[in-house]
Amino acid sequence: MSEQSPVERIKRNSRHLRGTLVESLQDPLTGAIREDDTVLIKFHGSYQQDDRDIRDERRRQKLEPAYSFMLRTRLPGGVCTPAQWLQLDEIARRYANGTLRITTRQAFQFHGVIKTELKATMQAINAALMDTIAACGDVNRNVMASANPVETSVHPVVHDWAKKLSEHLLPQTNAYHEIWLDGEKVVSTEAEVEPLYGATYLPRKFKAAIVVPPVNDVDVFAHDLGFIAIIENGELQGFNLTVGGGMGATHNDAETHPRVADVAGFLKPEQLLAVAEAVLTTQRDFGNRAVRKRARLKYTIEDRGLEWFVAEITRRQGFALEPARPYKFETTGDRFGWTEGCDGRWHLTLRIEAGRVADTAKGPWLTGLREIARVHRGDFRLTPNQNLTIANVDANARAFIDALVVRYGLDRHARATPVALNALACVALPTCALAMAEAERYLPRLAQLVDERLAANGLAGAPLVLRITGCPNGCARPYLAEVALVGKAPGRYNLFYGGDGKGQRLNALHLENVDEPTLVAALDAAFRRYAGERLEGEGFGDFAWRAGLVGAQAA
Amino acid sequence: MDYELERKRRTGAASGFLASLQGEQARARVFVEQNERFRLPADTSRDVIMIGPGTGVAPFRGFVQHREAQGATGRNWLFFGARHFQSEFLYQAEWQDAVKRGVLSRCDLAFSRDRSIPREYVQDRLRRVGKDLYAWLENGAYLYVCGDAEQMAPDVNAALIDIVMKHGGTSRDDAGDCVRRLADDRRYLRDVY
Ligand SMILES: NC(=O)c1ccc[n+]([C@@H]2O[C@H](COP(=O)([O-])OP(=O)(O)OC[C@H]3O[C@@H](n4cnc5c(N)ncnc54)[C@H](OP(=O)(O)O)[C@@H]3O)[C@@H](O)[C@H]2O)c1
Ligand code: SF4
Repeated sequence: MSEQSPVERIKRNSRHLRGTLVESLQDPLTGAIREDDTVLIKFHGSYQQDDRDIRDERRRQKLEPAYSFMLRTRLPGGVCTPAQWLQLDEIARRYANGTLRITTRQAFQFHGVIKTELKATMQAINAALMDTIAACGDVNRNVMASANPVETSVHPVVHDWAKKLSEHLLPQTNAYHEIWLDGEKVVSTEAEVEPLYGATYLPRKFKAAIVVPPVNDVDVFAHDLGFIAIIENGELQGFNLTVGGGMGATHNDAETHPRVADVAGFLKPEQLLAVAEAVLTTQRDFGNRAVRKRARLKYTIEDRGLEWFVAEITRRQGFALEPARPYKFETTGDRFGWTEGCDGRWHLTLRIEAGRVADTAKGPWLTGLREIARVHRGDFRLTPNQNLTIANVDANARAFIDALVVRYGLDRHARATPVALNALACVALPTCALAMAEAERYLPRLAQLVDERLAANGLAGAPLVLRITGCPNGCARPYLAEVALVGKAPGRYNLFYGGDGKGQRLNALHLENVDEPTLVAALDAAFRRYAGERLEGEGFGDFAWRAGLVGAQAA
Repeated sequence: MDYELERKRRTGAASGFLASLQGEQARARVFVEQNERFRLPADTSRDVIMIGPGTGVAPFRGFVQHREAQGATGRNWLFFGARHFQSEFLYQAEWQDAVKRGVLSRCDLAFSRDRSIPREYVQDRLRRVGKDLYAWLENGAYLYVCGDAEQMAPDVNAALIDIVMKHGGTSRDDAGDCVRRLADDRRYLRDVY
């Protein structure tokens, strides 16, 4: 056992995720919690962070870092009601930094909650009929689902499955209710059952998603567990199972790398929970608990083989999968603007850069969406691209919503270039402790640079999937983008080319450790060739491989 | 120090004064306000209670460092107060370290303008832990107060009388005498301004 990672010890000794969180919260000397508790609080949907911009200044003042907490909701499929929106908006203004963030996992995230207000914030979230259980940590995270499928009638069905899946894979410990909601203490923690997870939960985080082709908005191949909905004549027939996707990697470590999930077979809708459980428990029992960076399901499958894996889940679930059915993806992007549903109701997808809903120089978006939530009678859907769909609007309410959207500057989708519209960035500096470089704060400039180089080469308005993260952990799924920047050091990035724009193919390293001038020159050269040599309808990512900008011929 | 905040010019009390001095006549008289009594107990086995809200905490840095250097066996207990935990917990990192290493046995905090925790002054903290405080005093502890002379010091004094009354089971008059005796015995020492 001694070769297990330290996190395994913390989990095992935590009495099902309690640790010393109560004591940590009560310690008045610090805005932080104890070190072991920083691991455990993730399972409760929170991370401890500090403002890295002012770290040095505070150290000089002999003050500890400005600790605060990020809180993430669990919101399967990213659907919420206007009433919930209003409650979350209030939480953002009262307890957090005035920002409601839409995450790449279709959840809400609050930043800047201080320790002494953490409990009140948790309770306010629960009062909005949401929780934060298992939003982070070595468990199944928020379950994603296509936000605005072309086949609109399938959305409620798929959303329902996302909810069921999320509930089914939820930790059962009472710790969350005890610590945050003043729930009754369960006396014997030994007797407490965590039937699915056991005392040490999973070796690592576990991500699940359900997708409805042809829009691969959830990036289904980036997840540990995925379900591709197979629709025939408007009816859900079942799902293709995907397993072993994942984005995380470590710089200069060949042992780690992103991986596109395998398609393992087809299953009936009513088999979904059994299959999910089989996949999760297989990973629980066989995942690597010694080396955390090798602990995701993708490595378990890679090390033991897909055949072994399928045999193992077949044994556990008690039935075999059918052969996978055909499916086709066309894009990972959102369908912006108004789209009509099969029931004659309308859905409006707005561009929310980096998912940050706040009142900023871009416009009073937080205020605007509050005003919309006050009158909107449908629901809201957070998209996997961190955008927002105002869903289920009656035809006669469209003009009114449109007017609000324009008044509050929420009509970016009507003005932004395709590159800016579809770009993704993670939070990175100053918030994320792992960040090595800027991401979200650099994205506007980066998108502009890319667009300028495109325009300079006669490619203005070309669609291209651009993503940037502050470190190789890959929260904004960079390794599937056509052009991606992954942070190495302040102002320096690894430059990747070659995703297919459909989320089915990994990109590859084009240049290492580039600064901005090098980046601009590289993009310029690449776009010049792309403009001259591309085939009819060929995307930049496809071109990059064919032209040898990446791959065996490169370098 | 010279900056603008919320449309108001702010200057440092000392640096602003020094910077305002003009030309040849720019002279400032500097002297040390002596307070020979405000010293740690010679007997290092005695417990020490330090009450220093705001800038009043300054001497206690030295006190705690000195006690550690002495290898004092008596315990050290600090009361600190300020407006905001995040921005004004002076020498926070040092106190945390002292607590971690056991040099400070206790550290009680009172923040007066944070919305998420009860608004308190140091004397409110004193009253809350009056029982323990009284036990320390009974055990021969030395008590030091540093900081604001106008409001804080009298309020702390009143709190001490309340504590002796309540936990010593005496009348108000007797408690007052008791606290005065502590001062006469040079076990209750103040450096207030
Ligand atoms: N005579 C001098 O030469 C001189 C020089 C500098 C400073 N001073 C005085 O020294 C004092 C210390 O200043 P500082 O900046 O260190 O801190 P401070 O202004 O005294 O503030 C420290 C904390 O004490 C609180 N406080 C206010 N009234 C109190 C009372 N009656 N009893 C206990 N705590 C009380 C404050 O709360 P609230 O503010 O929220 O009420 C604050 O939380 C000030 O009164 C200042 O005017 C005097
Ligand atoms: S990708 Fe890295 S820097 Fe960005 S949010 Fe994730 S962990 Fe932080």
